[in-house]
Amino acid sequence: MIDKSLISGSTTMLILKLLESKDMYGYEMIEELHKQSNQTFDLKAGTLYPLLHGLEKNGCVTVYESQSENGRKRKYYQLTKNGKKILSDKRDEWDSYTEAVNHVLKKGVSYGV
Amino acid sequence: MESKEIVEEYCRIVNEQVRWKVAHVNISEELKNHIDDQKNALIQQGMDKDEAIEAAVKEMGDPYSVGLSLDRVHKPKVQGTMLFLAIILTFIGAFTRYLIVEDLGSTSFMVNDAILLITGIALMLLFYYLDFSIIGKYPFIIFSAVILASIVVLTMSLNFFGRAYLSLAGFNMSLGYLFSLIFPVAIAALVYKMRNYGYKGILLIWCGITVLNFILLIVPMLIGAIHFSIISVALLCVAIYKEWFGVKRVKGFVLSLFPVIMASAIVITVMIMNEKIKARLLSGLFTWDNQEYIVSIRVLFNQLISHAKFIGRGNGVDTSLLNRISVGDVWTDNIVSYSVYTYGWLPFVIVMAVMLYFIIKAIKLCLQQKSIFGLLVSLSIILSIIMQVTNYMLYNFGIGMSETLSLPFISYGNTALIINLAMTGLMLSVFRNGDEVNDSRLLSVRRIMTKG
Repeated sequence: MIDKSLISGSTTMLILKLLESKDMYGYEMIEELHKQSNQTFDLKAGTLYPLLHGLEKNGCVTVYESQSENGRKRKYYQLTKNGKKILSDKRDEWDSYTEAVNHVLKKGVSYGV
Repeated sequence: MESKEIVEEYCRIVNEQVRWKVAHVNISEELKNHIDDQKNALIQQGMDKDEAIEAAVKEMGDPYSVGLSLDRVHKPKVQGTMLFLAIILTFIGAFTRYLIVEDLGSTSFMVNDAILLITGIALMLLFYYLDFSIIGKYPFIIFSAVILASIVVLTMSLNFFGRAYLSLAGFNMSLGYLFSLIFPVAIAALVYKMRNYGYKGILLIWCGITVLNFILLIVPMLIGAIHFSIISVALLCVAIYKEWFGVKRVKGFVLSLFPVIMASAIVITVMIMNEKIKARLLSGLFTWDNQEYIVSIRVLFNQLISHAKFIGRGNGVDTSLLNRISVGDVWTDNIVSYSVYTYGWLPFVIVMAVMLYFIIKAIKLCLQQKSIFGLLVSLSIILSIIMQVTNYMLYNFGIGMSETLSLPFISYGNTALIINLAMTGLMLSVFRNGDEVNDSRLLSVRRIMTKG
């Protein structure tokens, strides 16, 4: 089990990444994230929806309704141009962060001369 | 607790934490859908239904913290700037009218004007806080009610100066202004009702436009009918562009514009055939240049414009002509030409810049609407304001129609001022709550109503 605080900061990036490949509804995102992370990430719906609604408000995603095969209407989330840019920024941020962490973990800390 | 009640209870607790009530329906719907998906997955894994629902709700997370997180996101878009601009423009209008009264030495209108100003602003605030989605829930009922109410008030009306007025407790309401300003919203409701009605929908809308135009011509209010027709065609074209009727765009546009082309063809033919009618129609579209009308009020006000200075009172206009000016003439139709002559171009440009800023901001907010319903209602109102401002300016500068409605927020008018403010309130209510308006849900309410 991974410490939750480790993923909480990167949830937005993960959600945006999921939506990069296709439009999804809430439940689908949780399932997909669970699957793609080798059953590591178990996102709660209560965390997901406030986050999605915030992303919608900020113009990172748009919402449309569509009927699924069983006839039920679902709210699908779609990544916007702005969302793609935010994803790319967050990815760069994440890369520098993990690189720095890995650097410290693997090579030790230099305290300077 | 029954399993269905567990779901309801969960959503109730979540919504209790969200202060903006308009958002509750959307939130509940999405949470319930999610619980249902989760429940189905758990049933497939071998759980029984009740057990699955209970587990699915548990999976959602603590309803109090979920609700609090959603409360931070779901907030109405407070239209502080737009309300401020509308109120500022209204006060600028009142102040200008006061200055004009002082200038012309007549104070008899002031008390009435102050009452109208307060009533108008109160109505704007009332409409701002109203839930405008009621129009989307019952669009056809509202459209029909507007027609019926218009016919009823027309039968009760009195005729002043050749136009229908409704006299209520000493307050004379111009039906021409009332209908001209309300009908665009009524036609927006009808357009909304016609989702997926195909070409039949477009034809039915044209029937609606014809009936409302007919009512306007009975008043009679030709300029109102022209404004209304232009706004209606614009709304129709927007709906076709958004594929609201489920028809191909090109065919839809052709069908929508066909009556306009036909009407124009008839007018041109009549003009070619009849010199008298040609002269009369042209006089409505272009500046009067006939000596016969040189003494008319219209020409006098146009003269004022040409003698205005950059700042301060203009000069060069015959005093005997100036003495003929009455407060009533200035306040209603000629406030711009008189103000420009009396106070100069600079104050006019400043006020118009504020008006233009208000309009541009409103258009932007209008185009940001997520629902077609929000788009149609707000567009019908802002188009009405744009039409009125444009027409009023052209009229005052002597290059427009021979008739005008009002200058929203600025010019005097029992009905025009109040209804324009009320409609502005309705438009701002769309901008405030529009994010939570959902076309599919509004339409499903209607379907349930029809089935019932």
